[in-house]
Amino acid sequence: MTIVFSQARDTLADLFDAAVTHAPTRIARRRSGEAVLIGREDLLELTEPFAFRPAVYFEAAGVSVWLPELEVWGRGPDFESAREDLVDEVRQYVEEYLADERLRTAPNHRPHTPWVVKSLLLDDEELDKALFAEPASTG
Amino acid sequence: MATFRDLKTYLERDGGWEEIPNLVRGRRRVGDHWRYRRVLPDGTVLRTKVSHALDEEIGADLLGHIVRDQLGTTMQHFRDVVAGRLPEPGTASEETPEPIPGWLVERLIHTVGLPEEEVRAMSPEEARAAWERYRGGEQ
Repeated sequence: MTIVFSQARDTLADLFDAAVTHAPTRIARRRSGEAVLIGREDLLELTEPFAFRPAVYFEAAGVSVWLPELEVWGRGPDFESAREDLVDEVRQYVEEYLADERLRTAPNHRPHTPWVVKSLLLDDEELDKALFAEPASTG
Repeated sequence: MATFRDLKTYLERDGGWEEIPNLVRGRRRVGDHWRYRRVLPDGTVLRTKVSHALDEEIGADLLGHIVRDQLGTTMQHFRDVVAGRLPEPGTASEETPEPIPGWLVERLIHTVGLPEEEVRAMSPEEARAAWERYRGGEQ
């Protein structure tokens, strides 16, 4: 179902209730395109296939973790601190991405969107778990 | 080898790099770095960060990712700029060896219970074999 922006504004409470019970709504605004109001749980499910594949490098002076999906890294004297640094760096990257249209429309950053959305939906503990989740294929 | 001071020198000499603010306040590790961005004429946005620990050496693997994936250049160009030499175009970047996947390091340390020092000394193949051995013994 697609409704126009003014109608969505007037019925936002109903649309919100619908979204959180798995009924997303397409909202169209003239000259601005369309957006979708969708429940967090549904969006989490949709981003499930976008796994993170961090690579760990043990170096002479510490540990580095490279995250290819967002092209960012964390580093620290040991694995735990590198991991914590990576979570913070993902948070920083997501904030930059949301704040700057030039970054999120750049040809080399646009492909990061699914992982940005996934990170946005997760709290720190969930994000850490997702970053270091075992790939389904190895189980 | 290169230090974070070398990386900072590169960013200052290469031209066009702007420092960007930390957008995630109150997090323990975000403030430990400076972040920089450079916008290329085609809209590509290069982005990197420099640790405040300027004299720390960047491991070869992480440096490879920073130079290739974040700075968008070659190791030769990076070294030339840091050394104040005119860059020689067209030189291939150095290959980085295969890392250990993040999920595997996490499992070996937190599920298997191996000391980080032991994991650090493993090749990716040895790490996978250790995990398979543990999984075999578990069943």
